[in-house]
Amino acid sequence: MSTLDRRRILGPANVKPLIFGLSSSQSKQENKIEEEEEEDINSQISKTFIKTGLITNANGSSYLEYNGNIISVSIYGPRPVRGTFTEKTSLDVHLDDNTETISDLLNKKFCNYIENNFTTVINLNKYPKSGISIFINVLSINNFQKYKYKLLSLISDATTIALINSGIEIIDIVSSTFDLNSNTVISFIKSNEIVGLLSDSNKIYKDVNDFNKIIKKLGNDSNIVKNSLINYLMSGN
Amino acid sequence: MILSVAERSYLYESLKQSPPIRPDGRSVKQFRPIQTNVGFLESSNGSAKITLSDGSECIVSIKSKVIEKASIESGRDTLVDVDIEVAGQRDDSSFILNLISTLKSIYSNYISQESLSLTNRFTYKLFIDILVISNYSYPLTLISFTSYLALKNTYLPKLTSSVDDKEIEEQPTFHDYEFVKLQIQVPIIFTVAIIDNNYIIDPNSQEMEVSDNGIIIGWYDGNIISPIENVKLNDGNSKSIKPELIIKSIELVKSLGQSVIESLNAAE
Amino acid sequence: MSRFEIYSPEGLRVDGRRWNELRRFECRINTHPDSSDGSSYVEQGNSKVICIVNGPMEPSSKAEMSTSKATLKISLNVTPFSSIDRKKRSKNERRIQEIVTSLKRTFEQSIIVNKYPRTTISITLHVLALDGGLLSSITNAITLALIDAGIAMYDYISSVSAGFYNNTPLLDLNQLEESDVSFLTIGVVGKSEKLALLLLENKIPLDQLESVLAIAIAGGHRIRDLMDKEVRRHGDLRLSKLANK
Repeated sequence: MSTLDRRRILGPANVKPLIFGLSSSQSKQENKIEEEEEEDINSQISKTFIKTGLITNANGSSYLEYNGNIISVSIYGPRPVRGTFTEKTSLDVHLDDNTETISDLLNKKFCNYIENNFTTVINLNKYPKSGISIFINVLSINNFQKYKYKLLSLISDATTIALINSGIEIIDIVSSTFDLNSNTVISFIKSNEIVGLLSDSNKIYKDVNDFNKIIKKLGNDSNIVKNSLINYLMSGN
Repeated sequence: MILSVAERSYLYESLKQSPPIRPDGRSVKQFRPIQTNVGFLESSNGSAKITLSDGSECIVSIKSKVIEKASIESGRDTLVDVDIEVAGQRDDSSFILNLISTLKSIYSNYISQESLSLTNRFTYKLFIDILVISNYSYPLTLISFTSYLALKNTYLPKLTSSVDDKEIEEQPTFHDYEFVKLQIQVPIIFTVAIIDNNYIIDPNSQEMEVSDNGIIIGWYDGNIISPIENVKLNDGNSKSIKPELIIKSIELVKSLGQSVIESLNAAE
Repeated sequence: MSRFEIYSPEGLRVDGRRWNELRRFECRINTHPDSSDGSSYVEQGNSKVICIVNGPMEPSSKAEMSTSKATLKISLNVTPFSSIDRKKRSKNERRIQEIVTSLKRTFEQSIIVNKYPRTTISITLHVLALDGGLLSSITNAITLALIDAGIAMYDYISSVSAGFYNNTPLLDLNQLEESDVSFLTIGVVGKSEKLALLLLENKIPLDQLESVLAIAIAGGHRIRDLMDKEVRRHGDLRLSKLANK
């Protein structure tokens, strides 16, 4: 214990740290910019960074960065499973959240969504008596409360790329898109068929057509996402 | 349920027909018959039981507790708590956790604060405890119907002290034996199975086994609400869904909701 | 000292019973015919218990299999809403595990287990409401469900609790009495005076034990008769259905 008079360093007992808060109009402005950007799929794609095959121990891996969200996915398998003969591959998904913002319930929900998506897409009959494990690592998250399903759509895209990298047979590229207004994420294959759908908001759909519009809009966006994913894969990185 | 290759293809082919031929002879929008019981647990504020024709059974109990509103605002407590126990399933399995998260979000969104409010400082909190004794099909519809009946038949103690306790701190006191019926609108959740170009409501275990995919759709007061999600109804033979089938299923649910509510209300 | 008068000088208990009176005992068997091999529902006072029996069936893993006898699997679920104040209980709670162990021991002796080698019998219990007599009501429920499942047993196991308070033995305690009175729970084998189960978790003077056991055995016989009546009623119902065909 030093004999130094700490009061001199700490100052008076009732001091408060000085915080330069955003003025409400400024934060509104920023929100607006973010929301507008959410509408513009092309600008989002130009801001996305993808790299595959970084994890050499895994059979396939991908790394995706977008607007402060960083996700890494590694695929292990198909590897033999112990026990009795099974006709199909079993798929298991694990999500590891390094930022500790995703609750256990949501973690399970995300895993479930990814599992549902890819059991539909992976040619499970091709790999009997084996298992495929998907490990998702979320390294960084931007504004989770508002954009949690955006994160899910990014995870889904990263998983597709990782699966392709691993050489596991899939029916088609899964491209996922997110709608902020209705807090909906949809995953498409074959231009407009749906493999995954998750919508969780307190919005009331008085008109069924409203939901139809969301599906249409996300379908169009997904085609753009899919094309850019293909472009990336073809470019041979 | 394990089906042979022949059974599977027979079922799939007959469900593919237009209109689909269901193994129990139901139409596309017909539910299995249910048997209901309400208010049989004296120590709960509300209780209900539904038994389906295939022996699936669900019991829901509603219990209440007085809490401070401040604890909800600060996020320490929630207005509604949901707990599910399915016989033969672990409490921490992803299946159970998914059911809990779906139900928690739908009930906390649509059970209004005003309906549970007691005074300026205190409110009731509801504990919805769900016990699925046996189930053979996707249990969410069964659970939501049973919870609907239980919530609609919930009686809470009548407040005798004053509602306004802003100025003078006062503990709420209650009438010795009189109860007030809880007046709320309760959302329900439907399950639709997709088979080829057909969509059928309330699939049974055989239909689930051969279905291409499943969708759960929320319904509240004449309108469609979240959750709108696809669910895995069987292990490993799921296929993609065409968007127009989703829209058609949503339309079907929207048109059916009111008549389901009416028949559930008649069961009281 | 409790706020309540457990046993008044006039000889009445908190719920108005005499010392040797049982609570209302109602039971039904075959309550879940579509989803189980055997099922029962027991109401003992305000306690309500559902019991589901499945089996004898092939064990899910070879490790559970015994080549000489059936193995019993008992799972006890005390629902969070069963008590007055909601309380979530884990299945791994020590108290629950102890009850399961004593039930297993009791029924391994009462079922003719060597008739069913290489099988398991799974017993699932749901306690919907609890007002004392947890062990006794679930024991009775299991007996009835096993009978409904057609599993061979030596005899009925009928169970009841009895306490000792102020030099008086009291039969079939409720929750209030249980918290104040030292008590034991027994399982009587049929109409005999043999016990398949005896659980005493606090103390009763040795010289008084006999009087408590005597009243408990008498109560157990009464419950056996009530259960037998229900089994026969259900049997007649089944028989009349067969005759009509």
